[in-house]
Amino acid sequence: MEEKKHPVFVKDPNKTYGLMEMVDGTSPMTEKRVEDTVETFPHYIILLTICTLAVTFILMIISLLFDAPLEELANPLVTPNPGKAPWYFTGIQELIHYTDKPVIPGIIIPICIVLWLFLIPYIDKKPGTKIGSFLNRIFIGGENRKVLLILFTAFIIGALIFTVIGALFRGENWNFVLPWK
Amino acid sequence: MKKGILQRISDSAVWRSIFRTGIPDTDLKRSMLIFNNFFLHIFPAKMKRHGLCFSFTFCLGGISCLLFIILTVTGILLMFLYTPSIERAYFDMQALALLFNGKILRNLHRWSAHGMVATVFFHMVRVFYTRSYRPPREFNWVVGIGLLVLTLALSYTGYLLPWDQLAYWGITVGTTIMTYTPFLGSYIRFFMLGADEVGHEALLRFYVLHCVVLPFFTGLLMAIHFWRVRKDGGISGPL
Ligand code: HEM
Repeated sequence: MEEKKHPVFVKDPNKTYGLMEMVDGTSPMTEKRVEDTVETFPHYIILLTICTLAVTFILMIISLLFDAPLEELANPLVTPNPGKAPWYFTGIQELIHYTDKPVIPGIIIPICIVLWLFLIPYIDKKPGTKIGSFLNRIFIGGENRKVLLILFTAFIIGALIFTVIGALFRGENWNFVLPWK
Repeated sequence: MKKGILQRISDSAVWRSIFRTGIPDTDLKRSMLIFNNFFLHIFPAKMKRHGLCFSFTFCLGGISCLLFIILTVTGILLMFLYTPSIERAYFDMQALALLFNGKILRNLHRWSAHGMVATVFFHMVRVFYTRSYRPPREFNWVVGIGLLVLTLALSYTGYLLPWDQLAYWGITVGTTIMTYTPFLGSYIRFFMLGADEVGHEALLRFYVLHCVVLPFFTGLLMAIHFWRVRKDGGISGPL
């Protein structure tokens, strides 16, 4: 072969190692599982640029078409009916409407939800002990986390439904109204 | 061969003093371009192909970050035009609405803020369904929930600033919910408002929280969040 006649790499007899092979590739990565990677530039940078421009453009259009609301000057003597919290809290307001113990939907439920959210990664774990795997089965539902999926999905759908009802479908004295009427 | 104009610019001493790397026509130069640039060096030189899939992240975290940047820029500009006092705040808003630029500025700030609440929430939903909070990413989920709470707090404190009926009663209704806390309720409300009712003290408190305290902590947590995304090995893999 070619290399026999003109050896490119001559093995130094004093060395215990030598260059074995030249491999075609574009990455200097060695002794690591091959990952399916691409260069950040241009692949990611292009995506980033397109996404940034698109979002900025859409926001510009929205801002041209719709004006931020500005009602009358604040007046402590004129109570609007209904008085509404910002839309992301109308779900809580809606829940308060159903009960005469506002502390439950107003304080306890939101705090419990936030605590539960904080804890999710620490409860959805491979259980180490017997009690652990028992608790895991109740609160997570095993490896495919059925219970957690149901709970979380219920939370998301519940939050969306109550927020939409509270924000759009409630009028004077918190009575049900249709927003398009 | 004659050099093109672009080639000449990117070979010039001035260009090289700023950007170091010439036209990125090799993989080495493409990597150099990322880690020699202050703004790009928070990104790795290479990324998992999978992490770039739109249908995995929907870019929701990135869009949240972009909205935060837009909010910071428009917010600083608004600070030049707004006085946090109950005598002036509302009329500053009215004056803003008379100018095209002022109106656009306020609209951009308002709609981006609403948008950010939504994108951060749906980013959390995405991370949940892809189960990306599993080790080693547990703590980044915790940081994320902190960011969700801060985003809501930012939006809420900003809601009072225009000092119109919507703002005044929105905050009155919201802080009334706080009084339902057993034992501490009225103290918490007083602490938030600096008085028994929504008034000048509340406006000043909300203003400082909205323009200084909360953005600072949000920025800090975002820095930790992004740093952790990389330390935890980039975007999580498919389920
Ligand atoms: C201001 C709010 C937030 C910003 C700007 C933000 C930004 C980001 C960005 C840019 C990423 C990279 C991947 C992607 O775009 O999806 C990311 C990943 C992540 N975020 Fe957020 N985030 C925020 C809030 C949250 C929240 C509320 C949570 C969850 C409770 C969260 C948990 C995570 C986790 C666990 C990852 C890693 C995901 C993975 O490896 O697949 N973040 N975040």
